[in-house]
Amino acid sequence: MSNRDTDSIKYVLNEMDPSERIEFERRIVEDSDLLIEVESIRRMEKRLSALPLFHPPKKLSHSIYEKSGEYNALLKRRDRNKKLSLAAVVLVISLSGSMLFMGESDDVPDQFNSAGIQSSPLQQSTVTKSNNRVQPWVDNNQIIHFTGGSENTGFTMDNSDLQSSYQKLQPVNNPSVKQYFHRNLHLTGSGN
Amino acid sequence: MRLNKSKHIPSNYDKMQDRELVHLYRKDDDQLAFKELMNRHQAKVYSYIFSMVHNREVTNDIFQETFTKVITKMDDTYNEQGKWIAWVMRIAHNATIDYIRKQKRFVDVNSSYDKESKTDFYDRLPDDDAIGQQEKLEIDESTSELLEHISNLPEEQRTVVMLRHYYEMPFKEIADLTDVSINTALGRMRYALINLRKMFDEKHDKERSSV
Repeated sequence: MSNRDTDSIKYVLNEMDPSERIEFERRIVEDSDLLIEVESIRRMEKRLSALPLFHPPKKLSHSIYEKSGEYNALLKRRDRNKKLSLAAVVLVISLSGSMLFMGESDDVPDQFNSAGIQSSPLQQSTVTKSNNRVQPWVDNNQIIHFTGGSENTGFTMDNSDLQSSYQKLQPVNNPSVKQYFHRNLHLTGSGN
Repeated sequence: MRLNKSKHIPSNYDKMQDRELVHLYRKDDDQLAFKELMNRHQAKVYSYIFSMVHNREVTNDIFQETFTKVITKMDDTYNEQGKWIAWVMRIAHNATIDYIRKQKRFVDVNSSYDKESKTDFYDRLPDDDAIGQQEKLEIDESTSELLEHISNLPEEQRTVVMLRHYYEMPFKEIADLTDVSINTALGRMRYALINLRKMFDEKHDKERSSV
């Protein structure tokens, strides 16, 4: 569709600039076919203006107002529920946080007091677990493991256990030959 | 019906612009502002839908669907920069076109293009519920004839005519709404008016020859 084709409709529907309008009116004067087209379009456009407005049934409009009210009420309810649940979550978190803090603060004095009058639970377990025998062993990668005793063996071994475990280590006589042995030896536990 | 303030729309509401009413409705949940917006535009939206589908019941359904979307999607998809009514019209237009295309999809015939009239099968398909056949509206004979001819226009031409007539929409907006260039929209309007003229002439010729 070229601009020339749409000029007539633009002219009739007032979609032209003033300068375009003047130019187009000059063309109409010179071209009788263009004048006929413009008049034809104008007549039809006038006819269209007689088209009536149709109104929706009142019931329908009423039901839409109702729906709008209900939807907003629903949104408000949802919003209120969201706020309530958020408040509940915050309350639970703050309560559990404060309980945790209270529990920790109960433990702290015991640990500090253990040096003096009472022994702490950690120390108590160290004392009882140190009675168990710990068996050190070296795996294929030459890593020392400590088995037996308790789960916290690395920390609960006494000095005699450590001394006996060191005796099982193989001394390296010629470092130039088995250098990799040195590098790959890892100690995984310590009595200190 | 729940109304937040009073049963009647306050007098100053009719002086407010759409933008202000939308703002009141969204921010303050003011149902009366929504009612005022509806009062202003509902007849135009309804007329546009009716002029496209020519069936009261279908028009009612599409109208309701349109405003249900308006109510539920306003917070998500409408930004207050654009014209509210243009946004509503886009929803109404899409719902109407969806309906028309669904109706056409049920026809089990291959589309065929007619070079002479530059229309395909679907364009030439008359609407099942053409004016005067099913709808008994209180409109005069000439209006009824005009509506009948409009219903025989190809869908895209009818859309431009109706958007222009009921909304006095600038062609820029019509082009945006229908996803075409301004020149195409103008061309469709021109063809629509020329076709309408032809339809009137043909009918009058027939009437004359029968007499």
